[in-house]
Amino acid sequence: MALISARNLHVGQRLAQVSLDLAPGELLGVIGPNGSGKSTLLNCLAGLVEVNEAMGGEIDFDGRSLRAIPPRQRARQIGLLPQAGDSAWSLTVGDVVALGRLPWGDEDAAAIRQAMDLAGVAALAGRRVDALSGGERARVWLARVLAGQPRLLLADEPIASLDLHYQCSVMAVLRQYAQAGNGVIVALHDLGLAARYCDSLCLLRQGRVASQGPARSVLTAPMLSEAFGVPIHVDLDATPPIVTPK
Amino acid sequence: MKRWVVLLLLVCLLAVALLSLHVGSAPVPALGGLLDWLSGREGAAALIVGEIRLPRTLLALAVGAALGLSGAALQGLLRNPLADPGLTGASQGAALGAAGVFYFGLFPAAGDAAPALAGLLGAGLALLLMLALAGSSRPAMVIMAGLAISTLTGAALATVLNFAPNPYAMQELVFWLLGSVSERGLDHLWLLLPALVVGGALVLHQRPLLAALSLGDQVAESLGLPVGRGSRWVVLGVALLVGASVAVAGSIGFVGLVVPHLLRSLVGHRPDRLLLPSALAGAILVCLADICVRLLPPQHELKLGVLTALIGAPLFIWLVWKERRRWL
Repeated sequence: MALISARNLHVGQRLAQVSLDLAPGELLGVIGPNGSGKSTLLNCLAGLVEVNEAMGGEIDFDGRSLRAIPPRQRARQIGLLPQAGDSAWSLTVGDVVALGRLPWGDEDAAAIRQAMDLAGVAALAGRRVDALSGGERARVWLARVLAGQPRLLLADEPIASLDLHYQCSVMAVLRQYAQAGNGVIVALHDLGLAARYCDSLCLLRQGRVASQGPARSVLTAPMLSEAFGVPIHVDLDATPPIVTPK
Repeated sequence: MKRWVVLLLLVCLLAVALLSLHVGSAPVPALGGLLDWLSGREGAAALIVGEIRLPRTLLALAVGAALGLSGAALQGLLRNPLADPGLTGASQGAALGAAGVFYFGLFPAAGDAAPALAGLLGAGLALLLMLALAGSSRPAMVIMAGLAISTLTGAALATVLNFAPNPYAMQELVFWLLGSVSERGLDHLWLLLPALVVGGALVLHQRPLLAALSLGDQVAESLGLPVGRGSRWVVLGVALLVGASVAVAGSIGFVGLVVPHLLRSLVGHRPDRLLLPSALAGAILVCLADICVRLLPPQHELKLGVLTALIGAPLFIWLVWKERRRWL
């Protein structure tokens, strides 16, 4: 059974007729140009943006309508890692990660430690987040979401502005989290990494699904060239896969 | 860490409270007088400590706690270390309410407590107007709407002063506005305490929200917290705390702004853990300031609000200087 399944989502002018399914253990990449509706889609799936019901839009999580799940229960099941996180205060890494336990109302030390280990930030636990580098901070935000042990993790451009090492390490963590039986949906701009790490892809263009399915069927030169408006070279047989503007 | 901070502050609070019972123009034994008063024995010491110094001490502590707590809550909510409780417009609303009593003789049945009662109503009205104007609990909108309502009530207050029926009424109001906890009885405390309890409970109940808001609205919402509703409860709690304290003791500035700053690094910068220590430290600070006021020569009475402003303004300048260095 699908962990989350969205049908016919419409949100203002930003999303139209978007449908998708995600099974447990699957890593789905959402790709598309800026303003194509990736963040809106993730916020919708997180239950933060109202879906236009008049247009027949609905989201089911684990067989239940997402709307019928109380916010706190929803937050235990679905974790959202927003784009460009920041902390207003000079909190320690340990305190930021512990915030991920808020939906559970506990400070489960084992879950927090596990999340920090998985994201590779255990050694930073006592440091202040504002004193960390961008790459370290991105992994701290990720650890915060992992600490809530959500069954569905939604990550909005988690590797934007990271160097190559951190890009791969964050994608590997997401891959590992999906393999443990959870669902992961990640919005991405790096199509090469999307081809390498995701089980399936969803290409959005102007708020609509332009293509959906395994990397091979979505990442075709004509499809991408049309979506992004530049000629694109695709070689999925290379190791690692290459998707780059010509 | 947090526990010893709270414990240490509690010990300081008790010490300052005892000192406050001890300090005054007449040398009387503080503890002996208090025990005499509590057991109903008559005497000069019981009268001075029980009827004059005790209400004054308790009032200073309660006003300080309300201001410290509201400052910490508002800074956490708005994610701005320079947010001041006066920002909600509640202080100015309370001042306007009290001015109504001095000039138009509102609530004659309430006697001496009339300015406080009217102040509370004024704070409540200003707050409702601010919330209606802001439309949402977005920090920027709350600040703008708070500023707009403060300006409006400030203008109304200036108009009232302009058309003062006689110089004495104007003098009475200006002195009251300068802020003081002297010449007030336990009946003022009974007005302030419910507001302190209800406002404090409203704010403290939203601790998880304040913690989550450190990472922004979107994260807080994704953690299942009701950001809009919770923020409104915090604003309401802050208005009750500020409105009631201004209504009872006039305007005592800078406590809500400075106290959270002094404590922030002791609680690991966590906005949720800052609330209780800020209440305790606010109480200590206002009570200490009141003790200083009493130690000054009686012919040159310095108002409590003037003293806190004199101490608070340089501290504020230092904060701005420190903040500025971060950006240069």
